[in-house]
Amino acid sequence: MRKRIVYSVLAIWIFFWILFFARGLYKGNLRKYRALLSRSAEARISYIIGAEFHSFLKEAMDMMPKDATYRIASERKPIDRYRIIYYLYPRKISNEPDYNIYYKGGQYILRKL
Amino acid sequence: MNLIGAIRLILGLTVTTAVGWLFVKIISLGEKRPFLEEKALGYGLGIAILSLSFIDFWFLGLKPTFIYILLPWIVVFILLIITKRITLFRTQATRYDAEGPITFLEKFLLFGISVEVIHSFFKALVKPIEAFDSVAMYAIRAKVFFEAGGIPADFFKTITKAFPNSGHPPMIPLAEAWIYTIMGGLNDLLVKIIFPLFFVSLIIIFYFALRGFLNRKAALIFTFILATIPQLNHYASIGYADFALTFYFTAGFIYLFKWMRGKIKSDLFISAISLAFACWVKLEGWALFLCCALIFILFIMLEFRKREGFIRLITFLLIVLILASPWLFIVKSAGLENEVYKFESIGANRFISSFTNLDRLPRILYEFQKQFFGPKKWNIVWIIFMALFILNIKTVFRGELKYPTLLLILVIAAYGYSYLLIPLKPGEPINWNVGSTLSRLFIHFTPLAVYWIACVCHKKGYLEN
Repeated sequence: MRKRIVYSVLAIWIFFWILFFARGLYKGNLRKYRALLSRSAEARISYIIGAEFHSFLKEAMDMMPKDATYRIASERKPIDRYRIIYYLYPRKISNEPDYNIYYKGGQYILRKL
Repeated sequence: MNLIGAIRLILGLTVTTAVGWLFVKIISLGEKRPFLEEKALGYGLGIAILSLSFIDFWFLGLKPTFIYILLPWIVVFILLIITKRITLFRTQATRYDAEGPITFLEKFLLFGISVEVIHSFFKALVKPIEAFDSVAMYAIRAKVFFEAGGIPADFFKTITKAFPNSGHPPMIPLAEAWIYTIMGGLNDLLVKIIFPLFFVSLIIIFYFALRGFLNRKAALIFTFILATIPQLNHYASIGYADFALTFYFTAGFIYLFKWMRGKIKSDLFISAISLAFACWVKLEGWALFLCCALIFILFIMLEFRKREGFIRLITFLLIVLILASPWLFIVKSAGLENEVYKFESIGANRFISSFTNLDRLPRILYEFQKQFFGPKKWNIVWIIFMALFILNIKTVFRGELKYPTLLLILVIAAYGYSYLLIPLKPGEPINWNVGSTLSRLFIHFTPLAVYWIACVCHKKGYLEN
């Protein structure tokens, strides 16, 4: 009797496992995986963080020398701030920056000070 | 993906596991364990040892290169060969698996575990680091370490304070920096391999812990249950420190419990070292270590010869404190902060005032019940847990089972209480804090909850023939 209960619970577990696994794939994971697999490493970063933001970061990395300093005056969302710091490193944030980065009119802008 | 980088990564991870495995063999004092269990432990301990060696080099003011970090272990290996201690490398014959051919159910369970393992590797490696904490707390610091060729001298005093939670222990960024050092360059896709490897190691250690008292089929059932918990698989691929903490805490208590039952010294050493590494992964590691220490003290008081038990307890505590306390020294001397708990202002007042925050309890309890009854993240594991707890309320507080029972109660209570400790602005609700973190905290003790379920089923003979 007890063993039957255990196997019934296991069957319920397997049912939910398959349900949520398949649901996750159906609800968007499969589409996302296909999109990611068809892209290069760089293009995947662009896909994840947004193409506009990614091209802004690339532009900033090209324009700013590696020892440049900058300030982030405003950002679209909190995680953008840390993505900027991460991708722009070794360029550093400073109170007396060479560059100013701010978000205005739906895009990020880089200004040399 | 660069082929040379990928080859370097595979070789580097092999070397990392080999170092950890060598360490396990040395502290095992001749005790043999199954090959896979040793390798799983080897990965977990190896990645911690090699990444934390960056801290040793920082203290000494030296640059940690790939060769310098490995050099002590190469020397140890050569010494073992010269002194003919090579018998140390023998593993236990897997007598466990001499139980006849694998049944259809077992094949299905192995298939399910494999699907989850492959899925976790796929999810980790298909996209770069993207989640908030992964970028803001770990990846940024890892990049600093790698670009500087080690931990910069002024890192803790100035650099780390530009990023969130400077008081957060640094093992994950150091582990990521170690992976970059192995690959010879930054790669925020491949670096995430750390996390599914923790997942695999956890599953293996968990399986062999269960095989100590369950037959192969029963052990596979519970390992399958663990491996297919959706939230666990999710956190095994997104680059958060929580999964690494889960590994070290689970290993820490499982080997402590093994020691309580078998009194094999090396189990106690592995437990202490795992819990010490947990303290280097997240602050919660300290709370989890303290919970284990309390259970240990209870065990000594109830079941062990007092003098010998006291010596074992002191040994356990000393190992953890010696390995983990350098971080506390760095936090204190550099004035590092935790933005949530604000431990720089923690004291008796805060503990007393936590009891004036009891108006937060309804929200905290609401969020807890969301976890317990939420199948999307946990399947029905918490429903099974609560059902077994209620149905066996006397049994679970008797015999050796009382130790994992009390540990789980302690940890759940400690985590619930921690929300009373968080300082908030007047009128600010606790909602956001609890809602955004509780499911992550649950991961830390979920493997032990499944282990507890297995222990109860074994005790009650639910899977006996």
